[in-house]
Amino acid sequence: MLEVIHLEKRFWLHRLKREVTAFSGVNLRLEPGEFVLLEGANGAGKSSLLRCLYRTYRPTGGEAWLRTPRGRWDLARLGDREVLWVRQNVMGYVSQFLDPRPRTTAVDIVAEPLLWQGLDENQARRKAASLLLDLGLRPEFLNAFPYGFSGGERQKVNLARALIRDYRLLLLDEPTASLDAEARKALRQRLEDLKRAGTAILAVFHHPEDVEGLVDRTYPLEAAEYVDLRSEAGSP
Amino acid sequence: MLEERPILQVRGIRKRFGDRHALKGVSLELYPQEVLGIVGGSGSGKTTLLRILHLEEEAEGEYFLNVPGLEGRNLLALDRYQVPEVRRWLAMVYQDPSRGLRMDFASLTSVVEPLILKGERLYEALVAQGLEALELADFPLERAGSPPKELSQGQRQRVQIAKALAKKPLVILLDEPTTGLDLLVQATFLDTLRTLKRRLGLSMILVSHDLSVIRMVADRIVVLYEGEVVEEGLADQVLEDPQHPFTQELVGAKL
Amino acid sequence: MRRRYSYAYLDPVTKREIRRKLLKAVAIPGYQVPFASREMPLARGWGTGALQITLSLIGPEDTLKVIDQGADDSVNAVNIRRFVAQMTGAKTTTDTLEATVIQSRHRIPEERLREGQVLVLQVPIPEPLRYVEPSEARARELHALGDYSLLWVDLFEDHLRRGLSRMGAAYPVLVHGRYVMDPSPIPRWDIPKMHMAPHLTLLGAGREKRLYAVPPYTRVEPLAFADRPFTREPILGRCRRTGANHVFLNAIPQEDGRVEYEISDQGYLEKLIKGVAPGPLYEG
Repeated sequence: MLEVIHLEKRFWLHRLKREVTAFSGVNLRLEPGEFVLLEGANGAGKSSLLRCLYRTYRPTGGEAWLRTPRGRWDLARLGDREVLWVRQNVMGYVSQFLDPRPRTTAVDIVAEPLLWQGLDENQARRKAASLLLDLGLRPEFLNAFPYGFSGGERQKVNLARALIRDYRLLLLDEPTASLDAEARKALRQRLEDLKRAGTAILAVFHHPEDVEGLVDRTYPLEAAEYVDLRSEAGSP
Repeated sequence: MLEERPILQVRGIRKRFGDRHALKGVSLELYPQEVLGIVGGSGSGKTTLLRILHLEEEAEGEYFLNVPGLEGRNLLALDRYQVPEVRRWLAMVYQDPSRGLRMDFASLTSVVEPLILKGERLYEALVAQGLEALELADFPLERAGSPPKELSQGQRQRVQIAKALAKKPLVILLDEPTTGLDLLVQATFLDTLRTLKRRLGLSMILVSHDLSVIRMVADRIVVLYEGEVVEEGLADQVLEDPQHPFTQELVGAKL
Repeated sequence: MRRRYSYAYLDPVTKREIRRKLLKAVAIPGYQVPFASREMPLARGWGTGALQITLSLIGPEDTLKVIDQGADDSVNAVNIRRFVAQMTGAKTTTDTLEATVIQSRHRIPEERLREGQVLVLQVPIPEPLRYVEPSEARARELHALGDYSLLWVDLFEDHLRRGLSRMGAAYPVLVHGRYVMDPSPIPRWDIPKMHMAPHLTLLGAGREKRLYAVPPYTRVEPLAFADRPFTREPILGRCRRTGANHVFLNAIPQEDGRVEYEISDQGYLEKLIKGVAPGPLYEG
């Protein structure tokens, strides 16, 4: 499903005239239905790796071959339009940062990936609502704007949006931070279902016990150069 | 890979104003159902580029639209009498609404103007299509008879959107459409654009100096600096992994 | 005694210029042809354009009728008629049916004109786009492109706001499906008379230096939405001398504030009063 060969990510920060390596020499494989947990100290590049695979970051070296219904593509070199297609149809991603959409309701945010798929509006919203409720979102929040939600509630919306579709590859970056126990359980259940359906999962979990029993392997990332990338690279 | 043809393509666009080189060889492509954000500071040439795309300015280079009848024809080489024929595929939303609307006429009248230009001669049909477009643009229909000069800035921009939608163009061009809107109005407006993109499969080119605006709507971003493309890529990529020094400045300054 | 003027006052060069421009105008129905408008012994704005047309066409075998808002006996009409008769030896008449050339300000006669008759209309400002496009150069471009959307937008706004078109006289018309022209300040009542008419209509604007024409049997269609058709003015009263209300009436305000009406076409009015059978009228 996914074969990563010698992937590396370096940043060149012009203002500081510094080069920072987020990670290098990453080699890993992921088969359908496999759950691989990324491990490593803070700043070791776990988030950066996920972002590179999602192509939010542009890898600076190596390859990342993804098997898609349209062929085996190297994510590292893939054209922008193809990446957009992959994100819509093959690969999902969850981090802690919700897109700022102050006037779209929680249900509509979650339903959107289904609408892209071509599902009819009512069906999409029903599925979205059901998933949100599973994750423990209060019913009165379904048609409210996440902008005003607490961190935990927002995270549920975030998660639901990535879980709503059966992606072949799911990238999760600390998805349970700020979630309550009930939501964590619901997430675990959903991940289990996805695994069984053949989704490959690559994830970072702050509390590995959330996914105990689901993890097939771990992959340790070594700190290449510890630096708080957020303040230096200017990313949120 | 994906067999896709861009619906709009420009190559090597050069524009001079006297001694000043506003654009020094800009190339870009727009694909169906995507929003391309063009970001840059003042002096980057972004507004000039948009005006060229709308055939309001002449320029050197090549400009193609993938529409029946115009394939392979460089639109920058057309004479002025052929321009109206091309413009029917384009719609422009101006930064200043008074450039795109008749401020003293009913808003509905401005919205139906492109339909009249296309040849619609039934009054009731014009009214119906105009109201439909205003509704799509999330404009309060009870104010359809009010002239834009009596509307808020946000409402005026929605009238411009409606006018663009009524036209059913291939591409909608937007020049800093959220200027003068306060943050919440701006967010609502951009959300409308996003929804329209999904529901109607619209393709848009949005020019802004404001990254948060671009971030909300764009799929891909082109960064212009002093008349040249210095960076381009997926929206989140350009915003979170900027490569070019100018882009890094822009993103850094934003925070 | 040496003749002081050419025949019909205009020198041969001018006559040739005007005739050539008229031919061009007839060849392109509704299109405004620029011409070298001469000085006339008549102030600009009083029909110098139409007068130049009449003088370049008329001959000693012609019969001329001149009306001003329907009246043969207004000062202006009388002066023009006398002048043309003096300069050309043409006969004059107040009978629409007898005339070969009819020069008119602001009206088309009620009795239907025949093939072979020429109607010459006085035009103050020929440009139909003048209220919606102030730039003359841009207006010419719009005519070239056949882009009259500004007029349609105006019309739409009228219907939206007032439920009808507010234009009174000089209602813009599409000629031969191509050019929109200003039919001169004739009332809406007269507009349908131009459509597929057997006679030739020539229009002259002396001050603005433009000639245009509607050849016989040419489509003349007022700009109107298909589902909001063009309508003529309602006739609001009856003629005080004949009781008629089937033709256009002049409104004559009285001292006591009332309004009295009288048939505007004086020649036709006189026939009715004298009991002379008038010619057939245009279909209602």
